[in-house]
Amino acid sequence: MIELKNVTKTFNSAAGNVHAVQNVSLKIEEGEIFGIIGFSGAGKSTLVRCINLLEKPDSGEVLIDGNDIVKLSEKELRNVRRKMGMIFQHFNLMPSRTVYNNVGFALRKSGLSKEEKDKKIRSLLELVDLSDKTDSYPSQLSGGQKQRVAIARALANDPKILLCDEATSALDPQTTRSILKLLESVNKKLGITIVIITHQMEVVKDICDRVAVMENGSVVEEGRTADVFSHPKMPVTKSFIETAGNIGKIYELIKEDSPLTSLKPGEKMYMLTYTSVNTKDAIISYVSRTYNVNASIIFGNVEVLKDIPLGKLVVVFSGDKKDIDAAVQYIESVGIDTEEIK
Amino acid sequence: MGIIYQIFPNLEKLAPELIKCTGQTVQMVAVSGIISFFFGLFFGSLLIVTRKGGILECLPVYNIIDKAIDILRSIPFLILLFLLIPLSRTIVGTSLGVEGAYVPLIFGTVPFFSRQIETAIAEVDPGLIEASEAMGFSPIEIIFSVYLRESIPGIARVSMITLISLIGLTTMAGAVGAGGVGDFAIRYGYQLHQRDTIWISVIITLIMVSIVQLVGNFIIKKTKH
Ligand SMILES: Nc1ncnc2c1ncn2[C@@H]1O[C@H](COP(=O)(O)OP(=O)(O)OP(=O)(O)O)[C@@H](O)[C@H]1O
Ligand SMILES: [Mg+2]
Repeated sequence: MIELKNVTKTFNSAAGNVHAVQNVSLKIEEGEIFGIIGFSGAGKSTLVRCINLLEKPDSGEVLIDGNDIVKLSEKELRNVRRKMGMIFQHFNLMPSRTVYNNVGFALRKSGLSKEEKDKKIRSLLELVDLSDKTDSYPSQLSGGQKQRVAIARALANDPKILLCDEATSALDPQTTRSILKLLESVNKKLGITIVIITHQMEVVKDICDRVAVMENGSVVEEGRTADVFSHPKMPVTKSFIETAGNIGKIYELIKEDSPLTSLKPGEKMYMLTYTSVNTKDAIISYVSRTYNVNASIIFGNVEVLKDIPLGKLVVVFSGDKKDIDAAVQYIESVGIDTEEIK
Repeated sequence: MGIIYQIFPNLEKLAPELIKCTGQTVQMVAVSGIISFFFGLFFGSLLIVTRKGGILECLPVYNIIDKAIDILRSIPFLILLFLLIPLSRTIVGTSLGVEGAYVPLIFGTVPFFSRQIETAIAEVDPGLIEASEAMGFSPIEIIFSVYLRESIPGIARVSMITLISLIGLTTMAGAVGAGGVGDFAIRYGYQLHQRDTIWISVIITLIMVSIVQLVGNFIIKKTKH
């Protein structure tokens, strides 16, 4: 569906060259919701803008359904873009046009008759639940409503792809959730492939099937959302997980030498990470009894990644070093990741 | 009516002449205003799209227009009036009267107005341009449907300012024989020492300026959301 091959983009400025995107190769399948996450300046926006060539890559290929669109003429490119919707952090609605006309604007080159356009606009506004705001101007709408208009506009020409650049970053958590729900239903109902750029872990967690993590212009990690976030390999990915749930707090507390994390001699602190549903707390009491160690849970958290739960427990074991090691080994053997954190 | 003639003793006798001169001013402002308006929109838009990072980036074009505007703006209008006599003769066939004033008025207005239009259009959120490009619109469509369309309130504002300064320029053109209210004030007020005619000119000019402002503000109010 969308395939990037060795895409590179460098910005030259007086202050020096910025390698915004470096040799990125990605394959995004038809009908999936693909997340690209990374901290500010990682090159996410530049990368997504390379997909509809708002930014021309210095080198590399951008294949849409197998065709390299870098080679297209301006005119052909415009036709391709019409089949790719895009929504933005700051909505980018035309302030001088009503909600109705903002959506209608996108249909200008559609070749539809006036009646067909009218029908289309009304059904789109119904889809995004804004039928009552037809004649409002963007300035009269809330952020969430503006993004809904932007989504309706982006869907006007029946695109197969929807690109979202920080589409929820300017919204409060509740509105974010409702916009994500809408995107998810657009994906399911219309089968549209969605590419989501974000620095918000919640967004990826909630709706992305697969995710790529970007850092300094490169994709450093990529895979199914649950896999990437249950077994993060790169430090960036780990730090995203830390910032997302409150589990990251524990690292801060350790750093600050909080009394909560202070250990007596012979005690060890472990982070246990599990993804399978049938893992229950019984394991803790089982190892406690079997290996003659005391286990106290000082922190716990369960995240739901798309549909898969990701549990994290911070446990302090006390007992013989030998016993603790055996207990940890057992825990590992039932498929739970362990990490000694103190 | 009686009291008005008491304050302006020369009004009754000069009324036909005043009406004629006002008509000339209106004609000069209207003709050179309309022509300047289109030139200004054209050059202002051209500056925006050809500037660095513009949707039709072309720095040579940008630099030429940019410099030309600066040079033309730095020539005092009175000198422009004389400078353009040959050009006016070539284009409109005369350098005299109302017709002879068109060319210098347009040259005096377009650079200023283009710059103002450029500033007004520059206020359009770059995000809108990005969104329009992403929707597959061509540069021409973006110029008309986004840049110009979205800056209508700004264009109305700078047009108002330009029109008012154009009214000022016509009075100067009047001083060199183009007719109009300025000519009226000089001939009767200055040369014949009929001071009331100067006040009459002031009032006529004020009325014209007020009408321009009224219409401009109305458009701004109607188009701003
Ligand atoms: N037009 C440009 N000219 C010069 N440098 C640019 C340009 N656009 C982006 N950059 C630089 O490229 C790098 C990547 O920018 P990009 O906007 O892609 O990051 P991002 O991951 O989207 O960040 P954010 O989360 O803040 O939006 C940054 O260092 C940025 O300064
Ligand atoms: Mg960005």
